[in-house]
Amino acid sequence: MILVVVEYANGKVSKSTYEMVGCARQLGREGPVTALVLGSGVAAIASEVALVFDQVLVADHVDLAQYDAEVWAAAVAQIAREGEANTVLVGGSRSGREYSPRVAVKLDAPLLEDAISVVDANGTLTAERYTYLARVTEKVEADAPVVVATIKQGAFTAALPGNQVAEQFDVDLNLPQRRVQITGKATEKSSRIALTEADIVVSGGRGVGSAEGFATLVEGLADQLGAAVGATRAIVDDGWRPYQEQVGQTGKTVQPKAYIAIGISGAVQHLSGMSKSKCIVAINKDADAPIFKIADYGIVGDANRIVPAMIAELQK
Amino acid sequence: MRILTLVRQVLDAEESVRIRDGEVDLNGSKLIVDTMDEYGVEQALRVRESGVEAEVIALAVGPERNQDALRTVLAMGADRAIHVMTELALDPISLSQVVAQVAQKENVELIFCGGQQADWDSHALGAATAERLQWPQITWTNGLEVHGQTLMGKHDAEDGSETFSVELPTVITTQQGLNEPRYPTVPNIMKAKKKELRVETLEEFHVGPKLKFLSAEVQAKARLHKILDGKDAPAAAAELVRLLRNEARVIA
Amino acid sequence: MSIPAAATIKRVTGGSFLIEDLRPEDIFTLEDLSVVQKEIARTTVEFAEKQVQPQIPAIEEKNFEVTKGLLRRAGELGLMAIDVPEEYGGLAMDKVTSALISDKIAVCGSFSVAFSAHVGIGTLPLVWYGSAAQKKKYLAKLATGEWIASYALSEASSGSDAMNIRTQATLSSDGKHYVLNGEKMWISNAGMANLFTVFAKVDGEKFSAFLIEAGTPGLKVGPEEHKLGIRGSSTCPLVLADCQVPVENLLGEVGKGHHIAFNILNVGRYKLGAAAIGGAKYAFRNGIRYAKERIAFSKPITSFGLVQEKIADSGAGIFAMESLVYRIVGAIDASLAELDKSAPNVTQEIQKRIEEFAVECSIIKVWCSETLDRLVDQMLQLHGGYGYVEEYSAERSYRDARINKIFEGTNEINRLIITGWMMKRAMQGRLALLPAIQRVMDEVMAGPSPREERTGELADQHALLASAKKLSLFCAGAASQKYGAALADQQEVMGALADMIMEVLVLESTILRTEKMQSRSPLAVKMTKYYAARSFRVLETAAERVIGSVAEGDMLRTQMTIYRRLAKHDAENAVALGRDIAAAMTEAGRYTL
Ligand SMILES: Cc1cc2nc3c(=O)[nH]c(=O)nc-3n(C[C@H](O)[C@H](O)[C@H](O)COP(=O)(O)OP(=O)(O)OC[C@H]3O[C@@H](n4cnc5c(N)ncnc54)[C@H](O)[C@@H]3O)c2cc1C
Ligand SMILES: Cc1cc2nc3c(=O)[nH]c(=O)nc-3n(C[C@H](O)[C@H](O)[C@H](O)COP(=O)(O)OP(=O)(O)OC[C@H]3O[C@@H](n4cnc5c(N)ncnc54)[C@H](O)[C@@H]3O)c2cc1C
Ligand SMILES: Cc1cc2nc3c(=O)[nH]c(=O)nc-3n(C[C@H](O)[C@H](O)[C@H](O)COP(=O)(O)OP(=O)(O)OC[C@H]3O[C@@H](n4cnc5c(N)ncnc54)[C@H](O)[C@@H]3O)c2cc1C
Repeated sequence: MILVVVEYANGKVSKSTYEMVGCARQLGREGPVTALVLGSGVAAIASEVALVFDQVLVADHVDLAQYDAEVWAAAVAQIAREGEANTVLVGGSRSGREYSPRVAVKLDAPLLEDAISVVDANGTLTAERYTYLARVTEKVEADAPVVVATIKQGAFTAALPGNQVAEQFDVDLNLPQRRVQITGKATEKSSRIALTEADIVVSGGRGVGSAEGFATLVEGLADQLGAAVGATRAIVDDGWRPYQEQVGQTGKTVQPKAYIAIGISGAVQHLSGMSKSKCIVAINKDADAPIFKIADYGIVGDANRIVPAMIAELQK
Repeated sequence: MRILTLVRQVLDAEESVRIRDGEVDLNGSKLIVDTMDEYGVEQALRVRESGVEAEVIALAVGPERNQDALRTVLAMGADRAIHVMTELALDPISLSQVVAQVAQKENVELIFCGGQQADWDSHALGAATAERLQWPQITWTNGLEVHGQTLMGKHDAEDGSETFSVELPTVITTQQGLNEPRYPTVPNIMKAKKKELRVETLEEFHVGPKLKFLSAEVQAKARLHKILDGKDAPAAAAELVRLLRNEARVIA
Repeated sequence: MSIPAAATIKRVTGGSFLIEDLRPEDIFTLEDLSVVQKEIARTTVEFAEKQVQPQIPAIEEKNFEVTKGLLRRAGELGLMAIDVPEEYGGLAMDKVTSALISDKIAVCGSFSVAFSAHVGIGTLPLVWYGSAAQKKKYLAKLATGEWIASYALSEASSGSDAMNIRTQATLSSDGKHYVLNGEKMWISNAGMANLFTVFAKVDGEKFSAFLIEAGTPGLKVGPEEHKLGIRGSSTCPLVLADCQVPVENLLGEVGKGHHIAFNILNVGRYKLGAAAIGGAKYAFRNGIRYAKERIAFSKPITSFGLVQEKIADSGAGIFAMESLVYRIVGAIDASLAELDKSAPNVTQEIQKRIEEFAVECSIIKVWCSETLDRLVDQMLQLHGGYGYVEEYSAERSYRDARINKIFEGTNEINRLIITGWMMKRAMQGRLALLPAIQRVMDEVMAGPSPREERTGELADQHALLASAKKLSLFCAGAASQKYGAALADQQEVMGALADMIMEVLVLESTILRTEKMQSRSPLAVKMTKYYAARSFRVLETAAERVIGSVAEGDMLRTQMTIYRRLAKHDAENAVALGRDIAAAMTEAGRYTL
């Protein structure tokens, strides 16, 4: 079977789950495309995904209320082993990429990380993935009875729910003790559209001057455009913006139709999170800033003057 | 306590990537210690400097040139270094087998490893190593304190940051924000010459790659580069909005 | 600290390159750096790129607090302690290491000048001439960057003519102080220095040097100059009005200050060459990166031949500068490595041995400053109109480069030194120039001789080098025959001879370095060929200038025949070479090998 670990957030199935199904279906490997739903109180999630999978395995347990890499890895490996999975697909989210290596080690399997394409040729999987801070596309091959892969968000076409409802099975798991105690969480909720799912992203860097500058310029423009907002590491570190908004190597990877970078220099680490955007727009006062090298459109000028003028223009 | 800190030598992010015969060609390019790993080295040194009795061991697996990276780390202040020499490119899952064996042989209790590799863009090495050792792991760590056998700190999770507490032994993967890595000073560079750098060969570890590398290519998207002069802000803004609307058709 | 490779470096005497042939293993090259040297270079690069570069705007605005902070940081890293003895808090390392630091730190002209003025002309006089008490009092502070040093020789009316300074020193009646009066001009670091080495004439005649602390009554630092380039460096006049300097702050001996003033310059000159390499690489990288992105006629401009030609010419220039500077500094190290550092007169011996390379130091100074100038001009040109505005660094690099032809002895003065020094050595019989000239004369009189057949990739370039040496000797012979000792008054001829001598040294350094690399870098081979072709054109122009001015009539015809025979060579395909070089540099996005 092809085992897909269902990703969801705030009671909603994530787009990445449907993309993984899309990936599994086009792979066409032997066996049912099987969902594994891990969590506590996940009946609704299980029913929702039943519309796209061939079968759904559910582990609904209080011990699974909170994610833990070791617990998740143990659960996935156990099910993969019991179900004799030939492929285990995990979302390319931060947690997916954190526990999947453990699954691979447990199954003595190769790991294809953050794949943007996967093809099966006579039982051998060939995957493409970005390397060198997303500047290179590499092709690698995994030839093994079972292969674990994490799937890059946005790389595959999402499967659409049909009207077939797959059968659900409850599974029993031998879960290990948690060893990492999470003693606090700082999560900020945003009313804005999610960064990774937005068509337009307006991002700001140190060039917006201050947290207030970000609010007037970046959020101001984003409001006009119905866009999500992003930030550079520099201003996240400075505490102007929450980490969830960070775009780049150590933040989120986005691929919107338009990415508007305001006062962002364009460090490689930032580019690695947005360079695949369809259209890149840069506003920076330094004509030498590297961001212009990958920009489709741009203005060399002071953001404090350009951006309000753009907002005014859009309001016309 | 013995601390193992992993060091990978990678292409400097400022360098352009060159492809030759379907492979990334590092010849003549500037190679550096992966910045992500540097945070680990720095943190290990800080643990030692905080009064915890610790020995900091740096480990690199790769071709001979990796010794340059180890020399840098010794000059930063690591106590000694181990180089497992191989021309083979190991994927993180197989590499973790080497790391785990070294960790066991050296009796280490804490391993630092970069959160993401600047060449292979992989997050897997820390977690895979932890799994092989049956240790817990903390990823994307940006704050860390050692209290006896307990580690407490801060790391980034899926949606926001978390504080944690975990007992040794543990694998910590590091990232920007954890600290500001020091540069080796000239006197320390000279001292490092005398430090131990032990060379071993991969054969002793009985490890082979789990993935086969097929090809690499640089796919740069062609960009339009229509850059306007913003001295007349309203005019430039109006023109940009027009272009985005009518030419790129990305805004309504 | 000796370098392992130094063991094989041949001990040579200054100027001997014109008459002796060396083998690749006889010279030091950048490829011979020790692990420690590479590591120090890396620390310097990190410092320059991560700490200096982001501060360039602040530095350029003359925010001296930023510059001082960076100098302090450099001190903490040990980058300013290389030439300072260990007993005074220094590291006493080799000169290649200190040249490497000057090279790698030079991403910003203003900062580079502040740094060099401090570690070179600012600190070295004290290292070489200071008494134990003076060193103990000041050196550790200078080595750590806690204090900044400055060197005040020039005056409004005497720059090149430095022996002619007017600043006076008189011993006070109680014998406790020297009282200084006069004005200094163009003093680097003056606006932030804590310690000045000031030159003055005791009783109006005895050239002497004094250490003067900032804040000493009677010492006033004038306003900052408004300069063409290196705008972020401090350059001010000093006014000494009854400035009382304690007698214990006399540096060295009364009447021997000119040794201090001039010996320091040799070091300043090779360090200037090293800094030119760093500045050139920085400008080159920015130029290439711009050109790669700039689209004209629907193509990146790097696809155009005339753009490629500039990239190739600049790249080959950097390669040649590196070959030249590190060869010479390596040779200086090889010479210094033999010294017993604990010997009582060791600092005198160090200076003597560096002084031995005075002509090479002048060549480095002139050749590197002019190659840098040519390079920043070409890089600016690649930017088109954008090269002419402040938004791009090309404009700053262009302005900053210019000073190098003026300070540390103007290029005119240095050209005169190059030819004059060689001639003087020849006359003294210390350099076997005259017999060598005689051999060339005999050879040409005997008619065409069979060419010495060389093999290998650079056989043709070796032939060019052999011709270059012969041509230079021939022209030097012709000029001295005509003018004798009065040659010194023929500055244009002296200058043309200096051009030839320079090209011989640079060409030889480039060829030998490439051969020492043993085909490891195909690009090095191409750059050597490319540069050799250009070098020979310079030589030919200079040779014709000399011959045309020393001979006439039949004599002129005879000499031109000899010249043509000596200069005979086939043309390289410089176009094809240039394209290959440019392609490699463009792909790398910077200077590469
Ligand atoms: C291991 C590692 C991981 C990293 N991960 C990330 C990551 O995930 N994401 C990320 O973003 N960074 C990351 N970084 C940091 C990255 O290297 C840069 O430091 C960062 O992206 C710079 O942010 P910035 O563009 O906001 O700031 P700066 O580089 O300071 O740029 C500010 C820009 O604003 C312009 N500007 C200033 N004033 C104005 C004005 N009035 N109008 C218009 N423009 C103006 C300036 O010209 C400049 O170009 C990482 C670094 C490392 C070493
Ligand atoms: C930015 C800057 C920083 C400086 N820093 C310092 C410092 O820290 N300490 C210090 O002591 N000085 C410093 N100087 C001074 C510098 O060394 C002198 O400017 C330089 O030596 C030239 O002297 P001058 O300006 O008097 O020119 P002049 O000597 O007047 O020369 C003018 C022109 O005449 C030519 N010329 C002069 N004499 C001859 C000759 N005999 N034959 C042929 N041509 C000749 C010169 O080559 C030049 O082209 C600095 C200068 C500048 C601009
Ligand atoms: C101070 C100043 C005043 C000006 N005044 C005016 C004015 O009054 N009116 C006006 O209309 N313009 C004016 N200009 C613009 C000026 O004419 C342009 O800057 C100039 O034509 C070069 O164009 P560019 O800057 O786009 O450079 P680019 O065309 O981008 O050229 C960049 C480099 O590439 C080279 N290059 C480009 N194409 C080729 C090719 N096919 N083959 C080989 N090499 C190539 C160029 O020679 C140059 O070295 C002014 C510019 C400045 C700086």
